[in-house]
Amino acid sequence: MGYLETHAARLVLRDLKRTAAIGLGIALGAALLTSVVMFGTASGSTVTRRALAGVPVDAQVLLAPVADPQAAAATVASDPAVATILPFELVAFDTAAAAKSGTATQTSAGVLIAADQAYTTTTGLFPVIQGALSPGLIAVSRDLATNLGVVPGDGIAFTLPGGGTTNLVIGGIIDTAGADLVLGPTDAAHRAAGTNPPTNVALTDRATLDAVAALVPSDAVPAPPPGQQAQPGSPVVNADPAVRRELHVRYDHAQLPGDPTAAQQWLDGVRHRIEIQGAGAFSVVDDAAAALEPVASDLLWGQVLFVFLALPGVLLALAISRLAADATGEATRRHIALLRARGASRRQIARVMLESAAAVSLTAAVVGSVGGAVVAWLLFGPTFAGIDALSTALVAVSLSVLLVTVLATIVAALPLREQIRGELAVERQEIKRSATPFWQRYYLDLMALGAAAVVFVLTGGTGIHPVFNAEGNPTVTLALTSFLAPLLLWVGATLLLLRIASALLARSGGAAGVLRRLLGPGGELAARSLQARAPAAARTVVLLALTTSFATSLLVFNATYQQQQRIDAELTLGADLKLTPVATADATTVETVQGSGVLAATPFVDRIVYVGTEAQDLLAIDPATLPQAAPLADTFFDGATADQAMQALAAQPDAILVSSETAHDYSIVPGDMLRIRVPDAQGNLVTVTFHMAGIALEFPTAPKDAFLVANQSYVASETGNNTISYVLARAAGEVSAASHVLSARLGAGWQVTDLDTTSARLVNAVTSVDLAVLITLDLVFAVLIGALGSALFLLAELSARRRELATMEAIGAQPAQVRNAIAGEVAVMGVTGVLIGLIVGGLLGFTLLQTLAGLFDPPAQLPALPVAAILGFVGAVVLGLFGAIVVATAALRRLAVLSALRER
Amino acid sequence: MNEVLSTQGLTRVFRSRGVAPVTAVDSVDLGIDPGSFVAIVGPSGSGKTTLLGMLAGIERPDSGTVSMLGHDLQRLSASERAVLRRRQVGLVFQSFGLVPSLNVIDNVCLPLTLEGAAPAERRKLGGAALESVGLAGLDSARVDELSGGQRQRVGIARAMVADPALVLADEPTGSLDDETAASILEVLRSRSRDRGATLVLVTHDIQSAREADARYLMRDGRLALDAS
Repeated sequence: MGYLETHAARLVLRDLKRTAAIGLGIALGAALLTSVVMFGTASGSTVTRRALAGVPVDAQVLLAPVADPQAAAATVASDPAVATILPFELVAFDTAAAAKSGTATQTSAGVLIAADQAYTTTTGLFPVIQGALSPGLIAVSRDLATNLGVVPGDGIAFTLPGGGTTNLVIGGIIDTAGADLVLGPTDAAHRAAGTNPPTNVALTDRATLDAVAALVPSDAVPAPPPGQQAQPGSPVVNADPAVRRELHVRYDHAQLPGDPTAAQQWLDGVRHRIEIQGAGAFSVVDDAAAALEPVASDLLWGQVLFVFLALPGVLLALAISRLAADATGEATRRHIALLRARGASRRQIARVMLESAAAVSLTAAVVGSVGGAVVAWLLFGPTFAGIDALSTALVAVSLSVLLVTVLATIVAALPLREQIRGELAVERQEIKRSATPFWQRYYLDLMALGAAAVVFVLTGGTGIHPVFNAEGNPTVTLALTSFLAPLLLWVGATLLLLRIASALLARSGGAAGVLRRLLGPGGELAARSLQARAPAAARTVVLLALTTSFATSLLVFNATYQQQQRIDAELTLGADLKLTPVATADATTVETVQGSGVLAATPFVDRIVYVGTEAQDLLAIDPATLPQAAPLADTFFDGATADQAMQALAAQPDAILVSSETAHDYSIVPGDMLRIRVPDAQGNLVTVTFHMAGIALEFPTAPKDAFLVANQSYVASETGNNTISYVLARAAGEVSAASHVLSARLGAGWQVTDLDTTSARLVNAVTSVDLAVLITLDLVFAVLIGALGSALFLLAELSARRRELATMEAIGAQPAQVRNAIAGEVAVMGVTGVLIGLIVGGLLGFTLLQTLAGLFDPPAQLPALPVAAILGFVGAVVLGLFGAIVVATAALRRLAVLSALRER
Repeated sequence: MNEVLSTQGLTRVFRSRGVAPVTAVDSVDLGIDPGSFVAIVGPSGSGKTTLLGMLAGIERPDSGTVSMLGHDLQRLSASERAVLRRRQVGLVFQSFGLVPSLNVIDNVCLPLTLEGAAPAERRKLGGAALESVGLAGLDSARVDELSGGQRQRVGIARAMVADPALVLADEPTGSLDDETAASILEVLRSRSRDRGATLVLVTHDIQSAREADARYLMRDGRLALDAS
């Protein structure tokens, strides 16, 4: 080790407390960055699993006309990645017409499909929601029924490609949700062009479909769906045959890599392997890979967002490091003077300083990054499934160490030039006067705030936009330019805070009287000290303010996000708990549900009815008990409160609330009579007369478009059908606990769904990772930075002022007076910093909400204010500062006054 | 006549791990009369400052006693010793001992502030103390704007502002040039004499101790009266 390196090592090791104070901030920053990067990686596994959880079929094996289905199934099943094989057949039809006398309704192209009960059980696709599917009959999609105005019992005449026709009778209605990829085109060109799947769908048994398929010539080409006819010169042609025989495959997901891109590559590999085995007998369409495609790009945006949310924390942690270095700058200046006295050149001094700064930065960054990796592993360990956790951790740690070391060294090196240039006499000054910083002279703070406002207005304040990609999958785009607004606000607010805090503290002499009354002579000394040390104290205030604002904005954002997710879940599920009877049940079964775990319960009927030819959801409710069991807001109704709407239903048995879309489409107003066809107990449609009582904009369990709300007792008496769909209940106490209690109490006769489970499902692509975990992670570090960092910084600063404190003690300050002086300073800085931080944090939170508005469904009207959480954070900061006072007081008791007075 | 300050068998030993114990002050017996000017002279490292620290009640002895104005310092709590120092002792340090975060007048008035004196009274007494050391008009100046001599005058004004019975000065001219040192010493002597305060001067400079009523020599922790 050379002479200069020895000096660098001495500078680091001589005052370990100083080194620790500087290193703590760096370590915190590195730990935060590492854990966020690891979170981003872990979230890859989460989004992969969640994206594939929504895919009913991983791959469609398209059999060639000559292929033997049995042999093909055996070949496919031999691949180790294949878990399940399900036969599926599809015959396209060109038109469908209602085969009823006196009607001439015809609809456009669609598909007839055959899939057995095992298919529905395994994939969840095509459940029969009304009526039943018997051999020889068909169950049609709601769209097909609406388009043709048909109901179970009616017949449909299908025109097939090649001109053949067939008549089939409707046995029931099926739900086609989630079947887009299965029903849609299988050729890459159409998929890439975003061709919509057919909405006219009819399900039947295999034997019936085989008979239909026999009517289609082998060279027949199906008509394209409406609106997708090939334009002249268009390269897109319908490449799918009229008859498709397929094997639908589900893979063993345990073998899938966690990262979506790696998972896509794995799926590609499996596809190639199976196709090679098929030797031309079949080809494979990879639905799982298609589902992962938008996820992979969304995840990238998501990871940018995660780092953005954590970046202020990293910067604050580095700022603590810099402040701690400034607070202990006297030691640096002494060392520079010593080196200069020994003849070191400026270049040599700079080298020593840089080497020591780099050594501290590197050590702290390594310690912090490893700590961050451990924290991430503890928090996200289970989500690393399918990911090489060790290499992930190594990448995250390496990245973090490199970035934080470089940043921290730069931060440490910035003041070196001035320090090295300084004359010895200047170095000896205990308080240095400094010229007004250039940003204050040129009002860069106000300029940044103005620019933030301009960017906010120009970008519309929104950074995330929900869109549909080429495959029709919902995805998001993230306009990074929109993040300029919060970033500029952050920088502008920081500098403005520094200006205001300096000005306030410079005038804090006026507070001397107040502090004297509160804390005696120590309080007055605190005020005078703050007045004289305004610039230094202002930095502490700003640090606290920024940490508080960072935490507050995150808390506001998180609370609003949770609130909106809960509202979304409540609207989707209908209440805290949804209890669906396995067997047919009537309204009296509510009595069975009542009891432990349930505060209130109400019967609920969701029935498909027909307004004219249009199928709509009729929600038949009990207006007396629904408000106690399900959430009803005044905003759900147009021109009435929730109470008024329920009273209107209760007051008139045939009253009905209609959705605004229905009211608009049929030009009806309150008081108008409606005749609606409602199924009776046998599934036959009975015309029931209602009178419109109002407009419902939203309603528990209702779809977003057209729906109706009526009295359950009236619907039951008019149709003779008193069966209910489910019971909605409000949980007594915590929802998931109540859910468990009910599941145990009601047994296998009821299916219990709760709000918490539904909340977890309702996520879009970016938020399909648990954003709350990331926010919690950021908050933990904010608390650490706010409490521990500020406390350590104060201790470092007090340590640097030990000679001043020793002087006070020597000339007669009692220990309690010195303690009060310290407490007074800390209290003024703490209260000022936290108050400013709360205000700026609220503002930042609001800006963040605007920027990330696309994440919220439904959009947030007002940000949520998590008072308890904010108070908890402030409490943690206060505790940290109180701890600093206690430690400083204890250190003062051990202070060797004489030796401190001798220090130069 | 009652002694304003006396010690008996005062001893202080510094112990550090791995290093042989160092006896900084070794069985010192001392008696100082009220209003006198006593100088303790010795080379660097002889134990002068440690002795002064113990006389002021800042440093605790390992053995022996210190009696100040009839109070046995070892029997007083830290808080009681602080109050006694504040009211009866003026301390002057080689490195001035000014609080950098306070301006000149606040530094001078620090003992009065700690005593809880009213701001008006502080201003009056502090202004007079500053005037007496030739720094009238510098009330609002920051201490880092002053020269070394001016800083030490502020230190002396602060030591005198509460009208102490005893002034303990530790190398008050150690950081100053000869001309300034002579002037500071004169201020210190004259202010003490005018107020009837006892002045104990610790110095390595025999010239500074020339006019003392009594001179003690200190070497290797031991104190002896200089009869020359």
